[in-house]
Amino acid sequence: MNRRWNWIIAILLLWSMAALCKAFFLAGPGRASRIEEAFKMASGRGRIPARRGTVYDRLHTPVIWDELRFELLARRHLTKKEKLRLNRTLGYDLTISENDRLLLSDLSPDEIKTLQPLIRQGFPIRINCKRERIFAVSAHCREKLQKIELLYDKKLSGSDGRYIVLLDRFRNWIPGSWKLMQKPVPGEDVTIKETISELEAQP
Amino acid sequence: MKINKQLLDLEVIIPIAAFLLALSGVLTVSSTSQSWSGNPELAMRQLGHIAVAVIIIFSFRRIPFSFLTRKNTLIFLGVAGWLFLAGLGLFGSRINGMCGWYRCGYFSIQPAEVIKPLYLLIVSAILTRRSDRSANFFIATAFSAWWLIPVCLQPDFGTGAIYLTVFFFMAAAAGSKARDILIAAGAAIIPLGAMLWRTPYALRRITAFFSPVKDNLGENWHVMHFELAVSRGGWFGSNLGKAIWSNAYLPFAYNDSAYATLSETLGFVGVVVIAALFFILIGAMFKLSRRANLTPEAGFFISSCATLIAIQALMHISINLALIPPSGLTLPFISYGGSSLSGFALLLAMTLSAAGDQPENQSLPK
Repeated sequence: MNRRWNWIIAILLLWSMAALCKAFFLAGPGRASRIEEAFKMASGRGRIPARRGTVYDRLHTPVIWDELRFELLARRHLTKKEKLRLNRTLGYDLTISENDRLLLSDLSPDEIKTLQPLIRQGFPIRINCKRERIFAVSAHCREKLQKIELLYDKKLSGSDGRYIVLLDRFRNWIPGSWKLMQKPVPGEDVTIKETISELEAQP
Repeated sequence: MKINKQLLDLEVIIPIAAFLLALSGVLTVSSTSQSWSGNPELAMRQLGHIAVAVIIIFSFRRIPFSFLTRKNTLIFLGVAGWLFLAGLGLFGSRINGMCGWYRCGYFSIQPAEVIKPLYLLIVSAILTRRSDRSANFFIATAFSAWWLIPVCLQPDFGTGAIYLTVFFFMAAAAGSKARDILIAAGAAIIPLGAMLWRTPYALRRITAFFSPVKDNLGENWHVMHFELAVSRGGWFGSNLGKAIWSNAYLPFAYNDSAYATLSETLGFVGVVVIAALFFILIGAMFKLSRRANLTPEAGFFISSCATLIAIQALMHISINLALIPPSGLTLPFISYGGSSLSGFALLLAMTLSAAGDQPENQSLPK
């Protein structure tokens, strides 16, 4: 009987050697090509929008400026169970109609933190960062100010930054993998010759 | 009982090697769970499972092996084990397409993992009981077929493959005729084919694995990511405590993909150390089985236990290295899970009990 067990031990040892050889290959000669393949598959590149410069009036009061908003969007139609879970996570009831993809238009930093574990588990929502240009004047002045913006567009624009990050199977960012490739250069601020009241008074 | 110093050493080496493997399992679990949430809950629970496993080893090793191999005991264990498995059809919970767990609140138990030692005990008793090897083989085959029915109905392909492989190895070691083994293997293809026909996703996984055209975004997804996770580890590991790729892309990184996670965390050098611990454990068990003053039944049972650990470890590692089609299998002592760890602890306890089964100790009639 010992002889037969010796044959079985020999088969198991051969199997072990085959596994060891494959492990060695993946750790050594086959590693570089796979790392490259992994990087291509999982890397996501993004743009970091540069902060657009602020337009000030003569008294250094901001007239036009950028504001950052975070929106909560659904990747697809949410089931009843998913809506309940989302409400439970946020701590209040969201009013979501059948076709709504925009769930919340202005997320607070605390809400973003609360939602992160849910997103990492593959819950079908995502957070979108939106820059809004705020005009502190009435509608009729806005047209004039937009022309001023166009005039100083290059100065106000700055240049966008770039980043690279690894994504998981749900296309979420893998924590710790974010890398800045190019720092964003914010736009320059511009000061106009008029005050807000003078602009409003103009026909 | 005569105390043989060498035997005592092996009886110490075996649980120590298993304990060290279990500790590396805690490292595996913490590498995955801490990557994302910084929450050590899974690792703490695994430490709890290890504590339970230690209790199982120290309590069950005291049961005399001669009592375990009594006819009435074997019949009782066989029926009880089968009912424990079959009850899943009525009371089991379905997780990931498999009805393999009993759930009671916070706790769950997977019978197929826990009762593996009972299967080995019964089959090794059948194969060594009488001198007619053909009769032994066919009784063991009939028992195995009966035992595997509830496993197939779950369906648990990984566990079924382990039971089948171990059975054929045990049959060969017991001196069963090659013709008988080939007939049984051929007959096993029919129910296996029926199982695969019933679960198309499993058939697709197998055909995709052997297909020359790799669908990396489809059925070959897991196979590809196993290789990528292992490659990321390189020689010395990439992220100690944070298996980024395993966590991001592999299913059950702390369980079915434990080897790939370990490989990413510790690298090739690290997994060679783990492999060495397995060699020590399994080698010590085979050596123990050959001690001159053991009964043949006890020696055969201990060798069968060593074979089970070796086959399950090799199958899990081969799946994670993309050498064989993927299936859900735990890595003995290392993968997260109380049922798996308890099952292997029971196996070790019965091994140590068998190690004390010397002819002079047998006073109970069979």
